[in-house]
Parts: sequence; C-alpha cells; structure tokens
Amino acid sequence: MIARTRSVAERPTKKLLVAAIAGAALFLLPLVGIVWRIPWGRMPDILSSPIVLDALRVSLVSSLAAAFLSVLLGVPLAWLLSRIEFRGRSVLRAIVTLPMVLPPVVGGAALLFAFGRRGIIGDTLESATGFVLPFSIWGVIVANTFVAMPFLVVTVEGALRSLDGRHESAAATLGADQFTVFRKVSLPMIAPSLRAGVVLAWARALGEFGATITFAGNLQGRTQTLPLAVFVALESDREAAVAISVILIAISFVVLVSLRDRWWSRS
Amino acid sequence: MARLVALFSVVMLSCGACGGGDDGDTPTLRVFAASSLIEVLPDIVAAYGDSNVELNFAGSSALREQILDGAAADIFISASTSVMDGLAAAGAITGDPVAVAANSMVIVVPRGSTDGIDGLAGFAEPQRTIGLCSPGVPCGDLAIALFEAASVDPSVDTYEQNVRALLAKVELGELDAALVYRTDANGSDLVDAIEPEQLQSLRTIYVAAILDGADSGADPFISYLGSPAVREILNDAGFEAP
Repeated sequence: MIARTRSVAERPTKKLLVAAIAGAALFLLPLVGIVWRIPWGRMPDILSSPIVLDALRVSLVSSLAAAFLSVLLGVPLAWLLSRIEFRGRSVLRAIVTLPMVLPPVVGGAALLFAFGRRGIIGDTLESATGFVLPFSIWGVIVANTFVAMPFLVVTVEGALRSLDGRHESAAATLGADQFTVFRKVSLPMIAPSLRAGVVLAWARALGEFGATITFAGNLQGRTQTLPLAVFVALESDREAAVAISVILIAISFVVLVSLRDRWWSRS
Repeated sequence: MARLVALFSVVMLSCGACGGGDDGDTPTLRVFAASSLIEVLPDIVAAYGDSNVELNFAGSSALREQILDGAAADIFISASTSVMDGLAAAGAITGDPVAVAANSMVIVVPRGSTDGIDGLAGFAEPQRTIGLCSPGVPCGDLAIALFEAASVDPSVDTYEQNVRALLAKVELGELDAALVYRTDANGSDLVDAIEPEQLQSLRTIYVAAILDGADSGADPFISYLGSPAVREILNDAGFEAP
C-alpha cells in the first residue's frame, strides 16, 4: 500500500492522509475514552446485575422487532417511492426520511401527539381495544421503528431505482403479475442492499434513546433499554454507565464488522 | 477546497460572540440550579440586577456529576442536601452550603381529571398509569421516602429523570397521576394538584454553595439568595422557608 501511494503525487496524498487521520481520531478517541474508564474489577457484577440483564433483554427484543417491522412496512414503502409515479411523491419521501434529521426527542413528542393516550388515534385505540402504547414495550418498538425504518427505506429505494428495468419487463412479458415480479425478480437482485438496510435500521434501533424515553418512558424490565440504563446510571453510578456502554459498543461493533465484510462488499 | 476553508473560517469568525460574555469586563457568574427552580430563578436574577449571570438547569444529580467532571460553574443550587453533601465530600465546594428554600410534594393529575385519586394509596393500584422521578434524583428520593413513610408500594409505570419531564407527561394526559413539587404544580395550567396531609410530613431543602475556584462575584450572589427580597419572590412561587 505504501508503494502504491508513493507512485502518485506525494503532497496531495499527505494532505489527504492527515485529514483522514484527524477524521478517524474523532471516532477513535471517544472509544478509547470509554475503554480507558472500564471498571474491570466490577465488570462481572455490573454485567450480571438485574438492571443490565433486563435492559439487554428489552433492547434486543425491541430492536429486532423494529428491524422486522421496518422490513415488513419499509420495503413496500420503498417500492412505492421508487416504482409508482404519483403527486406528492417527493413530499412523502421527505416525510419518510424526516426522522433521520429530526431530534429524536421531538419524534417522541410527535408520537405521543399521535399515538399517546390523548393523541389523534391513541385515544380511539384505547377506547376500542384497551391497547395503550406509551409506557409499554410496544411503545419502545414503535419509537425504535419510527427512527430506524427511514434507514431501510432510503437504502432499499436507492437500490430499486438503480436497478436496470430489463429483468422486470422481461418477467412481466412472460406473464408475471407486479407482486410476483417484485418478489421473484426485484427483491433477489437488491438483496445485498436490503441486508445492509436491515443492519442499519437494527443498529439505529439498538442505539435509540430520545424518542424512546419521551414516548415510552423509563421502567426497568418493561421499557428501559440499554441506552436508557446508561442515561440513568450516568447520574448515579458512573462506572455502571461505562460498563453498559461497553456492552452496547461491543454488540454493535461485532455485528457491524462481521456483517459488513460478509454482506456489503458482495454487492 | 480553498473556498470551503474560507467559508468555514467566515462561519467561525462570525460566531466570535458565541463564546459567551467572557470577553467583557465583568466576568460571567455561572449558576447551576435544580430544574425545579427553572421558573423562579430567572426572576431572582432579574431582581439581582446583574445581567452577566448565566443559568444552567438540570436535575440536581446530573449537575453534581457535571461539576465533578469539571464543568465550569461558580454556584450550585441543589434541590436536596444529600446531593450537596456528595459535592462537599468530594471537596468541590468552598464554605458551608446555605439553605435557601423548602419544597413539599403534591399529587398532580391532568386538569379536569375525574380519576378521584386522593392519597398515596392510589399509587398502588395497577390500573392507574403513574410516574415518579428516578431514585437518586432529589424529587425521586423524596417521593420514595414518602411512600415508605406511608407503607405504600407504588406500581410505577415510568421513572423520569427530572421533575419537569415528569410534569410534562401529566400535562399531556399520558400519566394519570404523579408526585411533583408543589411549586411545579402551581406553575402549570394543565394539571390539578391534590394535597393530602400525609405529604406534609417530609420536605426537601434547597441549598446553595460556592464551588471551588469560583469567581469573586459568587459571594454577593449567595448573600443575596438569603435576603428578604428573594424570600418574597420564592414565597410568591410557592416555596416555603427552609
């Protein structure tokens, strides 16, 4: 690699390298900061405490459910945005991607206004079915899906758009209906992007904090996810907060590294 | 690229004033205060007449952690003596803390609620959606002490990190009931307060202290906090004498 960089012009490469190293340091140093503070002696006790085990369970259940819901609802949404021409499509696309830039706390408040007990449809939902989203695991899942699904929609829609239409037309010519074409031709062709979208959405859901605490509240064993447990611990037991952060980092890191090489490079 | 760098420099330079009033003659007095003081402290500062006082509100425990982590502050006003004790033990304050005010708790329900809750025992009924402040936060510790004194085991649906977040969920009608400070209930048009006798047995004391390495402007402000003028402002907001 060094031999190759020498063969091109020396000065611009150095500039790029310095900037790249500075960029990497921005991500590396906070990580080192956390690892530096790991309370090694207390780690086994903290990690096996009921608070952490409960939070781990709530986090895994809600983030996996959110990833599943994102596929179930997000793939059809991506199909709609990429394949069907209709008025207001760009507006819909903007609305769908809004949670990516919206402060999650605002998202959580907006969810309360819609699905809260006095929200637009939350009220009707409660009187009709007795089902209440806030302060339940379902609330956590909805909050996670709200912030995570845009990542899947954007990824899948991009892939569908860049797909060459010839295979789809060929399948349609052979008599396949639109749903069959989508399922048997388009989806397999964009599989790497779909997987990447799922991983991104899941990772975003795992780290979700603001929308969850605003919409679903904070109760150990019911709605307290790992990020919420970190937040609470930061004010009472700093070492525990570091320990829980380390688990979050470890889970995300292992999944992102292993999946990136296996899936993303294949496309 | 050069243009991008130039643009960046322009943005940074035009933000020269973003660093706060540090470049003025009078140094800024930075006051960290419990979030339950968010309504009343700006009035107190306005009456003090020094425009260079900077206020930072959060849960007392969060502020304690920030101060221990080296946040630059001159004065800390905590919603409980125990949080201040933690700072004193760490050698982070100079002089003795001064008791400024006291506060007690009330039950709040969404305005116009027909729930009918009339005491702490109502918090043990699981069909009610109720919230408390987190243990470790002064309003949470006081609530838990009140439940212990009343031998009630509350069936809690959410522990909020500070009293304002808790109040907001009652105001939105998401929680059927919660325990907040009387002053927070007074300041809200969206909740009704219920004050059973059993809540009067315990109260929290607000204490103010000068932090280690504080600006010299901290002394007169602390003295001012104990003045009759401040006492009156606090009374009007529903705080009690310590």
